[in-house]
Amino acid sequence: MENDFKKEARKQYLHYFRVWFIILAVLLVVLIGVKIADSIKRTAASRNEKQPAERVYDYADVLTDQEEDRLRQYIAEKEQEYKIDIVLVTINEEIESHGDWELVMMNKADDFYDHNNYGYDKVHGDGVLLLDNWYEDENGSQKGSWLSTCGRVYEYFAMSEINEVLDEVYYLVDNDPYGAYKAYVDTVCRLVGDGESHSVFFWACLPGILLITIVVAAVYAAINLHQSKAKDTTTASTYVSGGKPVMKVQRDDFIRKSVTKRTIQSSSSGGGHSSSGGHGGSHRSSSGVSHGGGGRRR
Amino acid sequence: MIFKCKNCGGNVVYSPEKHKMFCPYCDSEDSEERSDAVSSGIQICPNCGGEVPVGEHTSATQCPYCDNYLIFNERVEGEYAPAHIIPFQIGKESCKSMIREKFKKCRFAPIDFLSEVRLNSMEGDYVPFWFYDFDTNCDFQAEGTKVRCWTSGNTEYTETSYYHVVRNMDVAFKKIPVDASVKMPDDIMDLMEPYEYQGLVEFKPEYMSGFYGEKYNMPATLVMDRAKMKMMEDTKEMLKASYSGYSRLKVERQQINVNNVSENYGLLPVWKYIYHYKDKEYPFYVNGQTGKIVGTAPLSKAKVWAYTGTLWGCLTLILALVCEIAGYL
Repeated sequence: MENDFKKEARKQYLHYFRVWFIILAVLLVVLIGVKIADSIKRTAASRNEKQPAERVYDYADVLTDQEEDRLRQYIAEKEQEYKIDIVLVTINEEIESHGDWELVMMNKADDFYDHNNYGYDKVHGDGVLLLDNWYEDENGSQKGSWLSTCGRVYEYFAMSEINEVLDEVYYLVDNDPYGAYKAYVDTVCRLVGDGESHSVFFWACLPGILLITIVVAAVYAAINLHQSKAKDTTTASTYVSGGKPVMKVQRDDFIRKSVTKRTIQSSSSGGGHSSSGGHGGSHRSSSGVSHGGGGRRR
Repeated sequence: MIFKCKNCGGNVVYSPEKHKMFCPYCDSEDSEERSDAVSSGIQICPNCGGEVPVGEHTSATQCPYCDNYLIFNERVEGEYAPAHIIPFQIGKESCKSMIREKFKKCRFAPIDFLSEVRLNSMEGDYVPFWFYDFDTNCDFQAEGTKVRCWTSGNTEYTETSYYHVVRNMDVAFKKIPVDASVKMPDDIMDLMEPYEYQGLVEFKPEYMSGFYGEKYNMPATLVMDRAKMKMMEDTKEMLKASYSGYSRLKVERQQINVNNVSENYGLLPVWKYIYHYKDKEYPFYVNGQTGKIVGTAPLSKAKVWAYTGTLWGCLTLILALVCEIAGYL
């Protein structure tokens, strides 16, 4: 008999959770499908043919010819691996006479990317451009970098990622420009890799998922552990003949009254706040392409 | 005594569904014939001669050998003759369905808790009760206050009115039941109430055939205090209802006088299901007339962990998979 009860228990358990198990199986199939589709899409991604082969424009002449060649070769390897265009432009230009430093740098970076048709997969597609200005005169420094992102890089990079790239560059650039630009390539590739691993989103969601599911499981357990106890269903008149007492005397005689008064104090208060968020430095360039980006003086 | 079928000689029992005597062997109705065959002792079955375990107060039981229901004359007659009885209105099968319905949502109860084999162990008991009638008078006087507040401009006014509250009422209580069985827990028997007294009929031993029973084993004088306590509580509650509306009441006099008391003895029907789980007893009682159920289902820790854990695991995996898929879209 014990075996019959165990068999019945298993049957009830499977019956009870059947919908959950079906949903799980469906989601697993969907996930496998999505992973396969993503892998096919990446393998089949076509190369943009309308862009120039050049990636390193050292107008400020801060790199040696050998360093430029090494950087070009390094970028080519990384581009192949991460399927994004990585462009470096150094300039030595006085720009503040043309407007706000950040605005001019942003427009220059975006326009350089757009006019040269950069983008790994298509014109104005996936890629990143670092514009590094070395201008300095007796009136002050206009040194600083602007990172322009586009396509997938724009999707993955919030301001925190942009600042991380700029921090890596600034750490080295004054003493070792080649090291700084190599760090630019490395950091961009690492962050793009993180974004594409899909696990970043998953790990960001995990604490919330655990919190929700623990609360739901606790509520489920509490609901099922609760049993309504039998209540006393008799009333005071259950056993009274005729259902009510015979009231022989029922008097409420007014005796006296007293009135007191009090002055009411008044008070008031108020307040509020607002917040905002989005992709890192999201904007449109003069060509109408969506770019992200950010930069600062050093 | 035993009730035998005139047609087939089988043991005739009272059927709650049919509201009459019924022979389960030949399906005859009202075919009973009382047999007062004398045996050599109360513990010897007059039908088969088998030795029947009979408790000190048992008035009706079933022979474990021939399954005939026996009613012991000397425990339902004379000083132990009940004045009235409410016969079982709910049969065993209906009672099993009611228990299944009530506890079907107890997901964590052991798997065999509601099984046919366990529920079949349920037995119908006629529990001895004393019924008390009280004629009472209640005299009450108090000073009551009513408070009214209002605002005018930036001033708040509070008016307090004082009243002299007088009540005098007669209350006639009829048949306040108190169980007269030592083995039945008082709190559970109180929760079985109320019984519907329109079902109360004159006692006939036929109603006991097919069930278990006890004679009263607590005298009327011993349990009267419980009835009095119920009466006092009810009277105070009715009194309170008559002077509601006062913010505060200062009682000056409250007297509840009992002018007349009388009691009589009767039997009330209770289905009893004792479930054994992990060396512990879980008793369930069902009012054999109204179907009211008293009892708490046991919990299987294995089921609590298995069900809660699976729910948690499934939900976590589903949300994680949704997040993972969303990362690709």
